[in-house]
Amino acid sequence: MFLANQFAVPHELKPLVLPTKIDGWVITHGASFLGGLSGAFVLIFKRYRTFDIYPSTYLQVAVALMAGTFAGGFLTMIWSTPQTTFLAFAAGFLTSINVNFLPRLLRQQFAKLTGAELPPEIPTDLSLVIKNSEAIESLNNISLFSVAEFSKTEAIRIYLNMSQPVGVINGWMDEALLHYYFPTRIEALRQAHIHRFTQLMEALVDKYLGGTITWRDNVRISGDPVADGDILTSMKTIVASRFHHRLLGFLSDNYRQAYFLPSP
Amino acid sequence: MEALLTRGTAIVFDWIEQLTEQIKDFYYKSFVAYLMFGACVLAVIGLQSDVPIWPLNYYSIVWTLALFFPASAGFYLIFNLRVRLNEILDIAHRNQFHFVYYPGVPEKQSERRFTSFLRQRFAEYFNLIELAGFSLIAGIIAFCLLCS
Repeated sequence: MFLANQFAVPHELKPLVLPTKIDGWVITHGASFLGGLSGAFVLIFKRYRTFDIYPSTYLQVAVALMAGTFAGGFLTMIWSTPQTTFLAFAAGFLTSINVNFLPRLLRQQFAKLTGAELPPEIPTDLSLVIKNSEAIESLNNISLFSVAEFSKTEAIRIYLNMSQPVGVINGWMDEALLHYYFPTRIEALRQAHIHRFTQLMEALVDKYLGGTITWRDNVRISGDPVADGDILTSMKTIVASRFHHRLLGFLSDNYRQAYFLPSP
Repeated sequence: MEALLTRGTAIVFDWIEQLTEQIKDFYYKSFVAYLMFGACVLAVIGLQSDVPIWPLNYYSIVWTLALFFPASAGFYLIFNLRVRLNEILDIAHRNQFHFVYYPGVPEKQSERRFTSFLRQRFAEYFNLIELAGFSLIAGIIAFCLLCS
């Protein structure tokens, strides 16, 4: 309103004269709102570029504009530093960029002020296979927080809810399967240059014959016969359970050929 | 000869069906986007006396900032919405993913069913009315807060 008054007369713009005193509360709330608005512009620009705009993106913007503005303004009451206005701006901005920022910040501040012990947050382990913070955020937005959940989700749902290329997503899902089923063998498998689940499967399979798989008898992967035997047994049970039947159909050409495609 | 004729007819019908679906889809998303643009223009005209966008003044900036949300959503609806779906359909076609969902079915039928399934899922995740509505709400909130 202050700026509106300054520019109210068309074609006769008055020089900008700052009032001698502006209420601190107005400044902090204004700063957090402008932070939220700037964050919203950055968010839409980034998502527009990567074709990653969903209806919920605009809902997030609407929520962040309101929640960020209010929370930023109130939070500055407990931050008695000379940079209060900047902190309010940053709180609004970061809430728009990632709406989970605000609950996390409020939890921390509440625990700090009251000394209350809040239940610990369960950290995501998706970073074990995905080195892309935007992709992890997209998965968090559809309530996927762990490698275990990621590897059990229908591939089509993942494809439609992420902006990364399908090949890249397949690579992540393939690695996620390996991390989920062989968490203690990851290092040994890496030393044998095996990074993906389907890669390991190829090393263990002798032949794919129309609807069946013949496994190798003597496999040498890690150099430890007992460990290799365990890996083979686990792999056989995983494939036999058919829990990841469709996913393996997407990830492996040979598996798809054996189980899904019509015989030539 | 008869079998060839039946097959040919099926291919033509298939092609017409796909084309009709694409045209319908194109007009529907464009219609929603233009409806939203229309609502924005009406709002600007309706509020011209109280919150004038022209001649240039403070409220011109407010309008520009607030209209950014519905405008970006409208352009996204018209030009970019189907990019992701087309990308998935293209890869699915090349890798014959349709057989993973519909094995043991003739290829054309399997592909058509998979395409239809994917379109249905896509429409659920990217609801046009929701996208338009939420972008308008975001714009209205920004407008109200900038005016207050």
